[in-house]
Amino acid sequence: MIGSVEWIEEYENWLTETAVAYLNIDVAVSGPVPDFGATPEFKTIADELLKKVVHPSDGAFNQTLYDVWFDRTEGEYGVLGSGSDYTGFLHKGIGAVSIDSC
Amino acid sequence: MQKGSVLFLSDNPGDPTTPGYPSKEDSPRTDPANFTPSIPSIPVSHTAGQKLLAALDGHGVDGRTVNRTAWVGALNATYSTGPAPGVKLSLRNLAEPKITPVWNAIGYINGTNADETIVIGNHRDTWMIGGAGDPNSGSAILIELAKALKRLTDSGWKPTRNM
Repeated sequence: MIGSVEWIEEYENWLTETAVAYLNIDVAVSGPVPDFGATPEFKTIADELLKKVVHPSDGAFNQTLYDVWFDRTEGEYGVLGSGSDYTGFLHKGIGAVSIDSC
Repeated sequence: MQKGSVLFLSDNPGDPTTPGYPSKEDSPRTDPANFTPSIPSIPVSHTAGQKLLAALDGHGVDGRTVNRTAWVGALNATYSTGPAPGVKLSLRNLAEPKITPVWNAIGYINGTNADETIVIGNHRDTWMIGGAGDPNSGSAILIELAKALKRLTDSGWKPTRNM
């Protein structure tokens, strides 16, 4: 996080003027359960995108990433506070989506 | 064993000597004591934790009587409070405070709309040996994404937004 925070501080003017979203891809693969966090304005577009991705659950390909994620979470996105590189962006008012698995 | 960080994750998640401004070689630096913990801490392994708890067994108030949320864990111990007479803990926490370079790896693609930017990222440091899941599974995806985007830009494609 030190690297991302210092980068944001260096390019703060450009980022706060132009950045529309930060996409964080941290622990992308560590278990079978998709786990997403998002600032509220991105929940709808994230829902739509998750429905377009096929999830290879149990060797079958008949479920979307959204289906598998919804089964485990009832469609609740995690609340982003701190803990990964979205932190520096959030502190400057730039919304984020974070993709993880557990 | 996974090592955490004592970085002030919410209050000042960057370089503790340059709060709020970029950390460059010639940047003015402030006292990091404002943004580093005053109480030293160190993570312990399962093996060490088991020994520490076993040494407290039968001394003081047992964990069930303490009755606090998450006080009792899954190790084979009563999670007693102690103190345990005659038990001495020797702890060494070696740290070397110094200013040292870190590197960001960054790629840019200009969009047709110069006023809008999407940033995609991950960290590269890890809290354990290897870090296959955290962070390298995410970094692998970013590298593959960069390769795919390179092929697209080579073919003349341009994204709407800067990436």
